[in-house]
Amino acid sequence: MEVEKAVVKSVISKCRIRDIELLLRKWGWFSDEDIKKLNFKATKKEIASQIVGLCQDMGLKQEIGDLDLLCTQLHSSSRKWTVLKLKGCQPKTDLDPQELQDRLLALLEPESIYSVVNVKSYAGATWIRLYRLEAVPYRATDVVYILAYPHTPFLITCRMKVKMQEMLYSVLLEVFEAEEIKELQLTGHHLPSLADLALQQTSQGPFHAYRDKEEDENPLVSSKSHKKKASAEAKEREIDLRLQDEHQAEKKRRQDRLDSTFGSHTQPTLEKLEYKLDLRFRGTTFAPGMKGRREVFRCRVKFEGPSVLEGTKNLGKTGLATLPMPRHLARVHSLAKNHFTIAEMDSSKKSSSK
Amino acid sequence: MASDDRTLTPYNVLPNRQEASLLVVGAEGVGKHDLSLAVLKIPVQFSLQIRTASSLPLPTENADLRPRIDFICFIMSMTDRESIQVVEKSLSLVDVKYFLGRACLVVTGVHSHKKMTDLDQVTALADSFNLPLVFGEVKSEKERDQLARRILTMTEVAAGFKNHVSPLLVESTRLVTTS
Repeated sequence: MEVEKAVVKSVISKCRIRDIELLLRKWGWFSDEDIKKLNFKATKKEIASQIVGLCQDMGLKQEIGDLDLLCTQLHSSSRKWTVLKLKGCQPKTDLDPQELQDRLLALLEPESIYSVVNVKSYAGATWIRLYRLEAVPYRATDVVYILAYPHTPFLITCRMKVKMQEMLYSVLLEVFEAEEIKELQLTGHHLPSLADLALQQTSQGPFHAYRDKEEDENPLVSSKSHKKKASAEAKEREIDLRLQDEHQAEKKRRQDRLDSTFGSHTQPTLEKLEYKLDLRFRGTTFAPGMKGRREVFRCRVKFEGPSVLEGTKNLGKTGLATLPMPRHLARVHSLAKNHFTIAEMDSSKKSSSK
Repeated sequence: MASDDRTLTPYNVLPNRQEASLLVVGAEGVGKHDLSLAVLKIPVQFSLQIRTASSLPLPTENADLRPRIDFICFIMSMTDRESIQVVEKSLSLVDVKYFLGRACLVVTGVHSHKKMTDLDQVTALADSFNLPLVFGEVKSEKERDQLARRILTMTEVAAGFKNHVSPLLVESTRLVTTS
C-alpha cells in the first residue's frame, strides 16, 4: 500500500488543486458522491490522504496506475521524451489496449521486472505505463511510459534505466513483431510536436499547406472568426494610414521567403537543437594560425530555448539572419532530428552527415 | 539636384499645403512604431505623415511618392549596441541642411542596468552633429506622450506652422554647453 500512497501523493503534487476534481472525474473510479465528500480546500497532503483512504476502502490498486497515467497524459511536458522507430517487415502497432496489456504482462511478469502495466488510449496513441511493484521506495523516475502510435512504426518513450533498456527493447520487439529498434535523434519535452515531426515528416514546412485540414479546424466555424479579425485589423489600420514604413516592400519580400522555407503556420516546439561537429578546423580566414592543422577539431553548437524553430524563423523576420537561410537550419523541420553529427567526408563511408 | 542620390536633402521636393512629414529612423525593436502612434494621437490642425525606417539610405522604390521630409528623428537605445551603430551610419547619409534644427536624437534606456555605452559617448555624438538630445522611455506611457509632444512641436516649427518661428531661430537660441 506504501507504493500506492506514494503514487497518489506524486500525482496530487503535480496537478493544480482545481484540476484534481476534473482528473478524478476523468479517472472514473470515484462516484459523484465520493468526489463531493472530498474537501478540496485543504492542503494537497490532506487531499492525497483522503483519496488514499477512499481507494483503500474500494480496494483499488492497479487502477491507481491508471490515475498516474492520466496525470502524465495531461502534464506530458514535464518529462523528456525520445522517439524510437521500429524496423522490420511489418511491425504491428494497431493492437487493442487490453490485448496489449495482456501481452505485456505475459512477457514481463515471469521475469518479475515490471509487474504493473497500465495501457490506455489517449489522443490517438496507446499509452503504456510500466512500474516495478517490488521497488521500494517509490521513485517517479523509475516509472516507464511508452506511447505507441497505431499503424505507424514510431514509439515515444521517456528516460529509463540503462540496464532495463535492453531488456525492455527486446520485449517491445516481441510485442510489436519488429526486428530492430532504432533511436531517432529526436528528443524534447513537447509531445505533440515530437509526434508531429516524426509522423508528418514529409509534410512539414511549406508543405504543411497541403495537409488535410479537417483535424485542425472546422471550416464552418472559422469563417466567422475571420470576419471579426478582419474588422479589428481594419480599425487599427485607420491610424496607420498616416504611418508608413519605408521598408515595407523589403519586409514583405523577406516574409515571403521565410514562408516558402518554413511555412506560414507556427512551427513545432523543439527545446534543443544540437550540432556536433567532428571536422577539421574550417575558419582559417578568421584564424590564419590554424591553417596547418590536420587533426579533428571537435565542437558542439547548441540552440536552446522555448521554441527553437520559431526562434530561427524570427531571426530571419527581424533581419538578424541573412536570407536565404542556410540549408541545415531551413530543413530541420523535415528531418525529424534534434541532434546532428557532421563528420568528415570519408570516401569509404556512404554519407558524411548522419 | 542632389549631388549624391543616397543622401537625404530637404529641398529637392516641393512642400504640400497644410502637410508635414516626419521621418523616424532607428533599429528594429527600439520603439519607433509606438512612438509614432503616440505622436499621431495628438490632435493637430494640419495633416501629419510619419514614415519609419530602420536604416538609411531609404529605398529608391518609394522615392517618387515620398513627400518632403520636414523633420528627422533618430532613435537609439543605450541597451542596444546595434541601434547606436545604425544611427551613426545613418547620420552620415543625411544632408547638412537637416542639422540646422530639422533633426533630433532620442535616447531611450538611460535608467537601465544593462547599458552598452556611456552617456559621454552619446553626448559626444549629439554634439558632433549638433543635434538636440531628448531622453525618454518609449515603454512608459507618460514619458512616451511627453516625447511625442516635444517631437511634434519641433516638427511644426520645421514645417513652418508656427508663425515667425523658423528652425534656425530655435537652433541659434539653443543653449549649447561647450565642455
